[in-house]
Amino acid sequence: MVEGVEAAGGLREEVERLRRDLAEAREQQAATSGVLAVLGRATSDLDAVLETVVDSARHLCRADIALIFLLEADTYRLAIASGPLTEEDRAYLAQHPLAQDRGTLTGRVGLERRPQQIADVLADPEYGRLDIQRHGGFRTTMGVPMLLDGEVVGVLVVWRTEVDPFSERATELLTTFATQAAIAIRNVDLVHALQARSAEVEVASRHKSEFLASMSHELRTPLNAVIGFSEVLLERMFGDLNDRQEDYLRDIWSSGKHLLELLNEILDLSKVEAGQMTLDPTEFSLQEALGHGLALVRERAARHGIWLGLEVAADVRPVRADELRIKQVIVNLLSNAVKFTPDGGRVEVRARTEGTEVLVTVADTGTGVAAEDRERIFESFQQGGRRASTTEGTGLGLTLSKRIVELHGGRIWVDSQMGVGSTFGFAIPAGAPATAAATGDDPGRADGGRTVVVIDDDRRSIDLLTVYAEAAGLRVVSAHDGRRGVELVKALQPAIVVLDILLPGLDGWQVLESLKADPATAAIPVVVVSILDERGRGLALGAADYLVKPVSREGVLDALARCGPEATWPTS
Amino acid sequence: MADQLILIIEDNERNLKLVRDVLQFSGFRTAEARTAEDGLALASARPPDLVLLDLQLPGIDGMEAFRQLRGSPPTAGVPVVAVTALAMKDDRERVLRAGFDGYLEKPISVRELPGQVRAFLTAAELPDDR
Repeated sequence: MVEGVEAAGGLREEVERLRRDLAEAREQQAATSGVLAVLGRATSDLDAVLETVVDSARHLCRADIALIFLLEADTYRLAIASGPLTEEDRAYLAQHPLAQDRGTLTGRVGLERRPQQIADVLADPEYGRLDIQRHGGFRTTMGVPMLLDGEVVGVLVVWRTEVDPFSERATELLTTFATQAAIAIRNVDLVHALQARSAEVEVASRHKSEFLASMSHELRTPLNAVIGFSEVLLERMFGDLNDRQEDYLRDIWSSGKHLLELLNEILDLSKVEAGQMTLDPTEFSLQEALGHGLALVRERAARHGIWLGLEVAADVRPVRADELRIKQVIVNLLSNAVKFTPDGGRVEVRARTEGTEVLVTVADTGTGVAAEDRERIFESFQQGGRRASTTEGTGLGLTLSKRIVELHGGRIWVDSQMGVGSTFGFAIPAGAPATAAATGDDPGRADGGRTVVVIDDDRRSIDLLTVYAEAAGLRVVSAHDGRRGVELVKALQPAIVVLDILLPGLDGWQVLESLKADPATAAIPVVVVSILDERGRGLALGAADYLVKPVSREGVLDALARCGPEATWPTS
Repeated sequence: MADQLILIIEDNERNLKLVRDVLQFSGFRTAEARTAEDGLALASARPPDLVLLDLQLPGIDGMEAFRQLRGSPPTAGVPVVAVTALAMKDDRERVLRAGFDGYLEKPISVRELPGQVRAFLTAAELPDDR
């Protein structure tokens, strides 16, 4: 009976002990995952991690104070402390580092590289830093090393103000925390190294851009002389030329122009390589972009009797992409096709939707690309077997096109049969299904037949353009800012718009985009007259012509005649 | 309109010669300077009708030369056109916002240069209502 009671009492104690152990284990687990969570969240915030570590260690080891000392320049410095220390004591501890010797527990842990305990520092003959003991007010102290790749980087220490040695379990717990703290330190070091590295890369990339800008300047200066003096002679400013002299001069001139083009492409390509080419996506009509490309090669094609065709499937919707860059790709493919097609050949452009992509192909009846060259021609400075004595080309255009298409998440390819022709194609993601498509919609012109709207904020420019336009028999209505200009064009449906770029508020580019995006005004030709020499951008956005200020009377009259009421915009 | 005096400030000998010869061929009178310092001295001694100013010059650069031209009474009203081989788009806008009367990018077009210079001169003669 008595035995039974004792047994029951023993059992109850055993159950109670187990319950305590379980609760303790749960608490430890929770604390450990808390530290891990902080670690995962704050790789760059070392203080937050170390603070969690010392707070948890103090709490779970039932210590009065927990501290981390980090090894810096051969001494251990206090990094953080948790527990009731006065500001003065904290400051003292922080300002008085510990040596790597047996005079302190921290020093000892560092030397031994494993956990150490001093049951009572006041009874320890080797303990040599009573000043620290006085400011810390502790008797029992235990510490574990923070190890990284076997090297001690710091020591995690717990103190008790009474003599009360720590258990084996507390040692294990502290070891876990010390490991976490060491990992946190490494992570922070890695993050800092990464930040320093990317700062270096940024500097290198900036140096590269500066180098390219100055190279560009250095090369343009002599090119200016090469091209300019060739032009002086070709213009026969100082006397006539015989045929052969003229032929050679044209070679000098076109080689100079070729170098200039190469220089521009190198600048573009280096921007892509440096990750500095950013896309500026807008929704635009692919059909118009293709028409624009064809217009640019039409003259050369005509000179060589090359037939140009355009076929856009009805399911092709406006795409969302960087219009300028996609036009650059189209122009590159088209000018290559025309360049490599013999006189009397054909170049056919097709666009269709396939699944989630829109495909554009440019088929020529040229010499073809050999199988082994079909990958190579998209890499810098390769021109495959398509190089012919009568053609020039920078060899960078396809590389640039490939990069641009890939930046859009698309692909570019070539199919070819030697002697029959090549088909270059690219695919980009098709845009969201458009609502009412804005293409091909011609509401017809109102009574604006011989009116020209001039949008310019400079009174003198308007006066000048008015004189010129009136000479061409046109009526001039002017607007001083972009918004008013767009309103006027919509209201008047003029025969032509003359547009400045640097305008207050809505600038010329925005006016041009807005006019071209609106079915009611899209068909009205816009001649840009600006001090900005950005012809390519202007034409890409749909301008019918682009004149750089200052404009001559002849230049304006020419442009008005080309694009004005009597002219028709070339279509295939 | 001919007989107008164009001051060319350009440090590159060949480009200076090119612009000078083309302008002279078109009936302009020219003055030339290879540094901003010389150009400023020439301009204030005998104000030209137009200055073609290269922006990359040794010593005082084009931007500073432009400020000095505008800041000095004899040359304050002389139209100044920047001529530069800078390739970056931002530079163009920077130049125009600085208040230059125009901007020509190298390589200049020989065929268009005389017309452009004439147009700059015409624009400068029109009354400025601003």
